[in-house]
Amino acid sequence: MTAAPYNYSYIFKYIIIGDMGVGKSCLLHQFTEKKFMADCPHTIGVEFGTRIMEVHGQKVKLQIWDTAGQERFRAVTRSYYRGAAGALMVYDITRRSTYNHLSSWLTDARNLTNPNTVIILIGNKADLEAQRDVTYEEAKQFAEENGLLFLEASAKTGENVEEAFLEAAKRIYQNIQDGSLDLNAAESGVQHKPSAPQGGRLNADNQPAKEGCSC
Amino acid sequence: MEGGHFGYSRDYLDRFIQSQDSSVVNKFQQKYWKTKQTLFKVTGKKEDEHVVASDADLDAKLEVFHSIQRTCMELLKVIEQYQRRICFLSQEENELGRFLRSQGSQDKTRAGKIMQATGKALCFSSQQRLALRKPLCRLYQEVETFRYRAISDTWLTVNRMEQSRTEYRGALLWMKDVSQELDPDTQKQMEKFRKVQAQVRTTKAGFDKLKNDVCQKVELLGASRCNLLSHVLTTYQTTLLHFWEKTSHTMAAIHESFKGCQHYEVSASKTSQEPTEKLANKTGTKPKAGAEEGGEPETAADQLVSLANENTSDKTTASEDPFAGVSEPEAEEDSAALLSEILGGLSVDEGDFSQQWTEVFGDADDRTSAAPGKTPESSQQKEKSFFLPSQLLDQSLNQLQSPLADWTGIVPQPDPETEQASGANQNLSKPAAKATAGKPKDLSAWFNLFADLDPLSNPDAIGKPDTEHELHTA
Repeated sequence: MTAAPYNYSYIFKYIIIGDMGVGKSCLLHQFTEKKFMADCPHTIGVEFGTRIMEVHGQKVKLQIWDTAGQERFRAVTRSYYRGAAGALMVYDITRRSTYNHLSSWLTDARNLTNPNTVIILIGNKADLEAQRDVTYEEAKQFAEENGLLFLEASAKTGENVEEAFLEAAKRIYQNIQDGSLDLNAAESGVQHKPSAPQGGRLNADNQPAKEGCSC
Repeated sequence: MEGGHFGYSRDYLDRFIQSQDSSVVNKFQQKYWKTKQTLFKVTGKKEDEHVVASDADLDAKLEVFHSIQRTCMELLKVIEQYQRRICFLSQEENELGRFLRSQGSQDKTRAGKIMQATGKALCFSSQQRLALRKPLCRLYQEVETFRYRAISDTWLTVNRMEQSRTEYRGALLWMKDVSQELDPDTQKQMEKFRKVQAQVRTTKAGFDKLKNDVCQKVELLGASRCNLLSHVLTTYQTTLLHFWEKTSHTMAAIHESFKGCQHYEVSASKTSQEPTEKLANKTGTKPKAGAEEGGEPETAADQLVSLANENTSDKTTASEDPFAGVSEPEAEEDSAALLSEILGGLSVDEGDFSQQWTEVFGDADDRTSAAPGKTPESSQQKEKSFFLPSQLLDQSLNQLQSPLADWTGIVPQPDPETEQASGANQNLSKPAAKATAGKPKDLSAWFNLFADLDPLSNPDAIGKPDTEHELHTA
């Protein structure tokens, strides 16, 4: 990973949560690799991905935690919510049950993250219009009632995937700007890196900061 | 690699050495967490609800398994007791019969003839009763073999699964621990995490496989036990019916031939005297007041019988209730009729039934025991491609709902009602059905297994020895 520009100003920690099989890992993969992973094995615990985006002229590194949706991992994944700046709550538009479980995911998210965490609701598999089980309107309403951003996306076609991550990032950045998100607070989910000599930092380190797995 | 930088190569070397050691450390850590989990299990510490919930269906299957174990044991005990009692009963009956005959031969009146005839009938009945022991013996042996082979085999698999489950849960605990302070930008932490992740992955795979094995085995166990019981019980049922048929015919014949006899007035006797004395007392008394024509000679015979019973068993109140005695031809006849009735009603249309089976499980395929790992595309498919035999029964039961009628509606009537008892019998003989709507598919292998699952429900075969034997000697 040689030419990776270490000149980002911020690191935002994201988590992706939702029922098993809704497409969390695929969304991450689409976002970081621009590819659709058809044969995705079950996530064990958590997987990581990163990408650097530009938000309002600032380079931001997104550190994305793709959590396991299987119920047995619930206790394990609960530890990952801490310190998340943004949460992508994903459901599958072709499976009603995944939509119905959203309230429990939301409860977890609200309880385990700080109040400023930006939560965005994603209705994945938007390309499977024929098997749609949840309408756009009702999900939109649910999102509005709970103060969430909302987008329907498709990890397969890539529709709205970038937008999803970007929207959340914009909102977080906005929160930083207007002061509602305190950068010095522990577990804000945002790390502010001074944008000056990143290169020097690299040589001085004995342990080069690794980017996580799927870059 | 950045060439020649001192810091780097040393660092990489460190890590290399570390990874060599790590296998020992690794194993130690694995053991530690596994032991911790075992400890939790043993001390009954409340486990994480989500982990437990995700195993709900497995635990349900385990319940079924334990119940099968238990009930097999109980069945064996019951059969043993039953056999013993048949023996005793037969002995007593025989003695009674001989007694009546000997006394009857001494008595020169018509009563004597009745006594002799009844005595003969009782002896005959006692012999016939012994015939019941053979099918019961067979049932006992079969159930015992079932226990020793099928149940213990499943038990082994269950144990292996439990061990694997402990390992897996231990790994999950470890992962939870590691996750507390996890930072993907920290190399060391990531390594640790990867290690744990690998451990969880392998134990999960092992556990999942064994879990499926257990589920399938338990289902098969239940179904094969049903099959076994169906077969052996049919023989028993036939034997029982024959026994009743024969003895009731005999008794009825006696009844017929002694119609119109004068009957005795019997008064309660509080002492046990020689039966001859008592009979002498009773000879020639007037007919019982208010009695009907038809039932009385029989009543007399019964009363004589119960009188004799009094003496042999020292009961003093039997005469008040003539039908409390052990052998009651009339009652037997009724109950035999009732039983044939009931058993004759055990049917769903046999033709219909097998037709519906074939409809549902038309074409053969080989995905019957597909392990979940084969279809990784989506978890939904994973769930459905794992086939459980109980799904077969669900489908067939759902389709057979219409003919199943009320069990309580059975009234003794000459013509057997075809569908009345089928529901109860089917429910008795089939394992508890899960409510999953499985897709009908690929099941001719299973179908063949279950093809003769329920011979009891064939109405034509009941009570007919030849057909039965043909069916079961096939």
